[in-house]
Amino acid sequence: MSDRVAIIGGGHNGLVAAALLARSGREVVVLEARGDLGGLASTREVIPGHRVDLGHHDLGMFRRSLIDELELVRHGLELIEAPAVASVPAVGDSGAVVLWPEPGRTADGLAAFGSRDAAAWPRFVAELAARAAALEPLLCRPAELADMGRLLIAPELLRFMSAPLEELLGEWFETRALAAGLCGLALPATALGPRANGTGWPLLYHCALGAAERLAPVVRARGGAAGLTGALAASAGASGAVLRTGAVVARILVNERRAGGVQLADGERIEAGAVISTATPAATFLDLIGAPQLEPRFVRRLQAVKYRGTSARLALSLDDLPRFRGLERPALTGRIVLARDPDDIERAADAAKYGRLPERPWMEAALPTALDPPLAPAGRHLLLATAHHLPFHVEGGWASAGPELLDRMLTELEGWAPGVRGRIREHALLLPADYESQYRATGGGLHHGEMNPGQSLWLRPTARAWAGEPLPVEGLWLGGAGCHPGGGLTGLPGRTAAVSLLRG
Amino acid sequence: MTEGVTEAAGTPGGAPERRGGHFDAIVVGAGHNGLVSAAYLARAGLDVVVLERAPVIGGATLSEEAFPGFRYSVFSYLVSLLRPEVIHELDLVKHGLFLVPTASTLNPLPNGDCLFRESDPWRTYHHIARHSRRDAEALSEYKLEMRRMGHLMFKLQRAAPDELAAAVAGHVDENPGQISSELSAEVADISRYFLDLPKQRRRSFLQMLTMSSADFLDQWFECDALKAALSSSSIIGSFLSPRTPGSAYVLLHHYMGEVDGVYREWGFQKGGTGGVAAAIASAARGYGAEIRTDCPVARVLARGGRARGVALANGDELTADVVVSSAAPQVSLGRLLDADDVPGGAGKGLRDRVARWQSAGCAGKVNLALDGLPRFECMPEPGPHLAGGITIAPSLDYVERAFDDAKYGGFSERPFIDMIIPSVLDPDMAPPGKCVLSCFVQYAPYELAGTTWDEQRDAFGDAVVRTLAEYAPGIEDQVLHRQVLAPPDIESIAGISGGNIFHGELRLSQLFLLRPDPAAAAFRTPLPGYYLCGSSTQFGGGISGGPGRLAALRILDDLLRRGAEAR
Repeated sequence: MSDRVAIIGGGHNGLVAAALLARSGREVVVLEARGDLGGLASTREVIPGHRVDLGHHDLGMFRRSLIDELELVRHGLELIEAPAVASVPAVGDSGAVVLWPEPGRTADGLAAFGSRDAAAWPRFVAELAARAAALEPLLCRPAELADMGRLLIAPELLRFMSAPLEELLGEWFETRALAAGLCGLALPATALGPRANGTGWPLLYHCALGAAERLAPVVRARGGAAGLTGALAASAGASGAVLRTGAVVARILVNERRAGGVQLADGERIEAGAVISTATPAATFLDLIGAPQLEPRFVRRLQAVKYRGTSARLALSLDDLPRFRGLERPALTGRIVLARDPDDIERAADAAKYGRLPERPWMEAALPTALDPPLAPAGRHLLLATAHHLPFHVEGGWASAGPELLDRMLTELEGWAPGVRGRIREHALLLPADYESQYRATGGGLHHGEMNPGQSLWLRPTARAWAGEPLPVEGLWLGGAGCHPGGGLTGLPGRTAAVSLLRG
Repeated sequence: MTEGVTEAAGTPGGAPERRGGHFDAIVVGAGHNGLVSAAYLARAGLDVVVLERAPVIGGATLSEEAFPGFRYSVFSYLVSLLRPEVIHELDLVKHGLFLVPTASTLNPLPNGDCLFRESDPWRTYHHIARHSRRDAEALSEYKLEMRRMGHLMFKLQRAAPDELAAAVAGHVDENPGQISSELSAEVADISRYFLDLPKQRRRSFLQMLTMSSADFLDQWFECDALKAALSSSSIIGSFLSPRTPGSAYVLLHHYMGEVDGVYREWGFQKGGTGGVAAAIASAARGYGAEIRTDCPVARVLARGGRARGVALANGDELTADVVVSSAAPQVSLGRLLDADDVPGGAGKGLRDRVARWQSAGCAGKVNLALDGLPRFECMPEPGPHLAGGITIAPSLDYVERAFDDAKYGGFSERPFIDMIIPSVLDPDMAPPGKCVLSCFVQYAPYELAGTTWDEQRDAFGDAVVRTLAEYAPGIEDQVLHRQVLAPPDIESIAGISGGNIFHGELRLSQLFLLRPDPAAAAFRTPLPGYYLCGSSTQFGGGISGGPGRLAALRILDDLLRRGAEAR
């Protein structure tokens, strides 16, 4: 049997696994279907001369220990921490809210609202940090049965994980825009509105993997997400991993319930003693192995996984930075949440439930060139606006819904940043259907499975098991965001797969 | 509207009332849980008094003749969760408990078709197979799984949540394969049961605590109408939709019932649900408990770090070794309890936490007196289907839209309706040839945005009749009288804060140690001698009597221990 490890997918998790295994002396081959590495953390010139991040690009949750262990800085990673975490621009008669990593600075800004929120903010951040710190160990290893008991005797943590986010925030704050900003940080990974139970969980997840003592900062790699995946690829390559692009895996070779390698679309067979798949559980088992080789009960479980939490990204090349009302330049470096009120998000989720586009899409905007100007040619700026809570199966199909969505997003943007439409020189729009067809993200979800409590912790697959039962194929490990702990640029699922494989 | 005659009413016969005085135990509230607690305490030989704010007993289990000749079960309308041990131990059948089973559930669909589920599984199979053969086959396996899950919840219900969680946490950590010997035999037994569960069942259990019922049912069924029909149990009494995470738990909660040993059967109390409270009251009195109505309690008295009795609204004071409240947390741990009386300065934290308790009601009740039986388009002729439950929930989207209306402070324009026709089950409920239709309606938020229930009550009633007419054409002309009750009415008449039928949303953030508060999760409150026994305690909600019984057992246990220590 071959000692080789075949890794399906050259996204950040696949590359983390490859680099760790190669450093441990294993023979590794990474098979990436696209012409470039990075998967949902890639940077591409979808607008000529502009380096556009297509998916995840915030490294705030990326494990710092991996940066050291894989010597990513030596391999070219340069981190830039944004001065601001998040902001909600002013709209109507409500002022702008800016969340800084330093609680005091945020509180100073909130004082302008003349409410109790300024005083509440530092206490809120401290409490959030305490809950997040209690959760963090559970995210860095598979959740055990004993953790269930531990969680049940930590009632405040359990409560934060299971209650509606809007309600939790309402216990602290009066300013609706502030609540909207926090909902905007938490909810992109779900199809849930902030009034739904369990929406505290994604905020805790975000904070637990972010910074320990403060609100998770926004951290970007110089050169875009490719700055991270490029360093990971360099680290893996330096240790001897073979990284193949344009290698479309057609199926995982399974013989008597044991994986023995993969077969590419062009017919090439690659023998391997172990296979790590960073594709979604559905793509891994249903597409690459096939339902006939699996037990019907397991197939039904796979089919029941929800891939909701669907987004579209609009990249705009502007001839100047847009002017969001009430936001000074440093505030433009963080995430800009374009929702006035948690209900804006709730109503978008309402529409998506019935397969409709939201009347007024809420968006998360970023201005990568505010931190890293060379991402666009001189005299140009990039605005990335991501609409969340979209239906994957949209009424009438994306061919007609796409242009309609573009129009609604631009109308909304103009409301938030008057004059922005006049500054647009070029644009590109990536729709949910594109994420599935181009990046094999089942259902267009960027997190390989909705980040809701019913698909998290004990209920999310781990590298070798799913809810306590071993995966049905020997020699196959899961290493993508569909695994515990979940989505975002964390590197954890890839690391867990590598560690689990090395332990045997 | 509430001045109807009620059989459930009744200040005690027997011993004349004492003004003031001393008792072994005072129970606040004569709803079914308060009465069950009182009965168990009295049965153990304690001198017990129950103090009820309203002129009648029963709380939410109230029946009345609101229209000449027609009797309504005003709020609660079906009984299934009533614990068999309560029925047997208190001998409630002897005291007048008489449950008529409802044998079927009819879900009319907009196309004139329907889903019909009967207690005979074979007939149900054929009804469902018309819509989906796969689902018809899955249904029996699903019921079995739900029954197992319900059984697990029963088991868990008996242990104090903190001890149980500690047992599960400690199991793997310190004593692999062993249960700590310090735990009570019962907790040890239950945690062993939980740890020995097949992994698949533990997974289902976790899913039930966290998932939406739509996602949960998706794992079993393909037919939308069936999923909608089954999801009804997941939203009853809860401000949730089938697609809201957490609704799967409410579904499970409704799978814990039985009538006469028939699992998952629902029964109608002959004469109206008030008869259930009357039976429990009769049992309690039989054991010597005294029940006083029109007797609102103002606050719990404490001295030396212990509860010593209660002060009544009229200024009288009653002393007791033990005080038990069946009221919702806002009352029990809020209005009745002076934060300064709680030892160790824990009172303020408790009060702040109680303020976040979610118990705004979301359901209304529309009771209709009809000129004759309704004619449902799908089954127009009279038949056994009229003796069962009838639910308007034709699709998941339908229920979801009803919820969306209410989320922003309106009542559902086209509501979810769960109804029974009590006069078919018990002809004494209406004059011959006429009938009463008891409609439980969602969603009706406690607070309406920009208007009030006094302005909207009629419009809400109209929406219900209009919706019914879509499935039973002509029903609008049959209505002789209607009684429309919104959550604020449930609050003022039944005395439940917010009008939430479960005394607080049944969701993971308000279960286990969080029901109703980490400091009061196992019926004890932080004030020694003061206990809770209502629906807002351990796994409470519904006419189960479980909390009342478990609280009484906890109190008796504590009294025994105190007695032993004193010796």
